[in-house]
Amino acid sequence: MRRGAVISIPGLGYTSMARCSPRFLMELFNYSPRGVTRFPPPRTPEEAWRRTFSGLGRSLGRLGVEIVAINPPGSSPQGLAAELAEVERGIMGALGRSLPIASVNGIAYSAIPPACDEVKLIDGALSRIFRSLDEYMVISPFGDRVGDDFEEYGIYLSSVERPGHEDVIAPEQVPDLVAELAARIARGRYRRIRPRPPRVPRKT
Amino acid sequence: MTPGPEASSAYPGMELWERFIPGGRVGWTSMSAQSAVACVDPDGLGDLVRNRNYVVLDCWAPWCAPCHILGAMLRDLAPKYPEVAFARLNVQAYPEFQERLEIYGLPTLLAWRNGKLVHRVPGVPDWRALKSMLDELVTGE
Repeated sequence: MRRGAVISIPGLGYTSMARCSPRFLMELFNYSPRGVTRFPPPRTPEEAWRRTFSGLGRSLGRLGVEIVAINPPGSSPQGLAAELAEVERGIMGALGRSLPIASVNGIAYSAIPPACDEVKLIDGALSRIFRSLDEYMVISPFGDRVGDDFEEYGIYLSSVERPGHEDVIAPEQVPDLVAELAARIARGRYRRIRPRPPRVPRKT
Repeated sequence: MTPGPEASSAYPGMELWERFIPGGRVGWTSMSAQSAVACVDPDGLGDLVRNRNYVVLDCWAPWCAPCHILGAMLRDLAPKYPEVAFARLNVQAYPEFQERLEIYGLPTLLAWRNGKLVHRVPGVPDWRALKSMLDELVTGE
C-alpha cells in the first residue's frame, strides 16, 4: 500500500505564504499541482471539517481504504506545537495501513492571523511528514483570518490535480479528490503483488 | 462607504461600494475589507489611468493560486506607496479585456505612468523585484 495523507489547515492562506515565505510550502507550491479552495460562510474549523470531509465514508468504502481522522476540530491540544506533534504522531502511525486525514486547527482558533513563527512551525512539521508520503493533499478550506472572519480562498496543494483548470475548488468537491488519492494508494497495494518488469537501460 | 445604486443591476452578487482614492474618484469597485487594493472593472481602470499619475493593475482570476500570492504581496506593499493607485481586475469576468491588453498568463502586473503603460510583469516577481519595479515606476528611473 502506498502511503498518503490529507492535511487540512483552516486559516492558513496564500496571504501567509506570501508574507512568511515558508520554505517547504513554497517549494511544494512551485512543484506540486495546486489550486484554490473557496469556502462560503460560516467559516469555522468545525464547518470546514464537516463540509469538506463528511461525505467521505461512502466514497472510500468501495476502495477498501480505511480512513483515520486525526485531530478533528474540537479536540485540539493546547498550543500549536503540541497540536502539530500530535498530528505528526497520528499520521506516522496510520501510514501504510490507512489514509490519515488530519486537521491542524490552532491558527483558525486564534483571533489574529498566524505569526510567521507559527507558519514556520507548520512548515517544519509538513516537511517531516512529507518524507514518508507518496501521495498527499494539503488543503486549507479557507484562508487567513480577517477580523472576525477568514479569507474565502484557501490553499490546495496535492498530488491529485484539481478538477477544473479554471475553477476554484468547492468543499463539496474535496471528497472526490480524496477518493482519487485513496484510489492511488489502493492501486499501490496491487503494484506490490505484481511488480513492474525491470528497467532496460537506454542505449546511448 | 455606501452601496452604489448601480450595484445590484450591473454586477449582481458582488459587494459594490463607491470607492474613493486620495486624488480623485475612480468609479464603482468592489473591495474586500482587508484590502488596500481596489478591485476595478475596465471602466474603473480607465478612470484610474486617466486621473492618477501612477497605476498598478494586478490582473488575476480566483482559480489562479499564484494570483493570490501576488495579491497578498501587493496588499502588503500598497500602503508604502501612497502615490500609486493599486487595483485588481478579475480577468475571468472580462475576457475581452484580457484579449485587448494581450494578457496571456496569470497573474500579470501592468503599470502606467502618466497614462502610458510602462511595465508588464507576467508571473509572480520576488519581493525585491516587485519593490524595484514600484520604485522605478514612481521615480521614472
